[in-house]
Amino acid sequence: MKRLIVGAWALLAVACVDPSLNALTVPPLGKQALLDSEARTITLSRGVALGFDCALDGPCADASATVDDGNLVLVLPAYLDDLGVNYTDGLYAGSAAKTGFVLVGKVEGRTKLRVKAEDVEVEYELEIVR
Amino acid sequence: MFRTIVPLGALILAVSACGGGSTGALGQTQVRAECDPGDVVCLQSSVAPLARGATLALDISSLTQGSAAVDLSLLSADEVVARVDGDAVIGGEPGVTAVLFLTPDGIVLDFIHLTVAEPTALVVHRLTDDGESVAELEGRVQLLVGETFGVSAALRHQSQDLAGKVAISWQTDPEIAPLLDSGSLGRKRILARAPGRTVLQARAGGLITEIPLEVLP
Repeated sequence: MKRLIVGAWALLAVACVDPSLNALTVPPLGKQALLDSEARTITLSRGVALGFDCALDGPCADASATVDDGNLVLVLPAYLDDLGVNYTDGLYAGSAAKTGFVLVGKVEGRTKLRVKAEDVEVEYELEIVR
Repeated sequence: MFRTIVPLGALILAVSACGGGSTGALGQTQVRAECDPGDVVCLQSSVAPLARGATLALDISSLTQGSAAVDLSLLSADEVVARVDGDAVIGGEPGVTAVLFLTPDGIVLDFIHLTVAEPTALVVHRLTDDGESVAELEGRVQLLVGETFGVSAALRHQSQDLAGKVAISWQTDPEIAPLLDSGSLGRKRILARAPGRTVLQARAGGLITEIPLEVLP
């Protein structure tokens, strides 16, 4: 039982240190822009844009986003006119402007999206479809 | 991809008289198709699909709180579908593309998805004296000598009006009913000069529409 509790805390600790990405926009009718935070996959139609925010105990600080193959997809920083709550050790620690990015599907194919915040990186499989 | 700088402040001042518009995907801008009052596309509650080959100037207003207007550049996600030219987009191959609104330092303020459609019909509208479109012309038009008659034309895909300006070529028999420039792209005035019959022909986007005209003594 003791090991189970320790394991659960360890899982929670891991969950808290990875930046979390959340979709902010929907695709146009008949197109795809799907961000799956659990599977860490993104499916995006060519020519379609997807806005998403980044959280790590609040809005991601010092965040950057890159893709392995810039010929397939473009990633740009976004200005988000909204505040998010910051937490330190699970306690309220004020608020800060949300951090976001926009992905733009250019050419069909597969690549990876890497988002880094506070020296922690999360990796998503990215597929650009027709 | 093509970028151009659009002075957002100027665009806000250039808000057209028509209502509606589309909110950007991030909810931080309001986007309208710039057009003349009375243009058919102005009647749309949101930005209508863009006709292939047509030019659509975008009127972008920032909805962000506590920020003054900034210069924006437009970026098309798929230049085959629509390319950017100044503050306008030009329709290419039918399809869907995102058009992003970027600040001078490359930050996305917002974006919309624009649909480009192939025109399937060219419809001719009758205009009132003050330039408002009142009806689609479908049958014969009869005029008395000395009367004038305003017309404009719009492209459609099936039953949907398409946005964007295109060069429209007009033709009549100038001896019976010459065409007068109205100072606005896509609009003409017909003057009933002499009794007789002719045909008003409008050409645009590879489409032709003909309306029989008769001038009575």
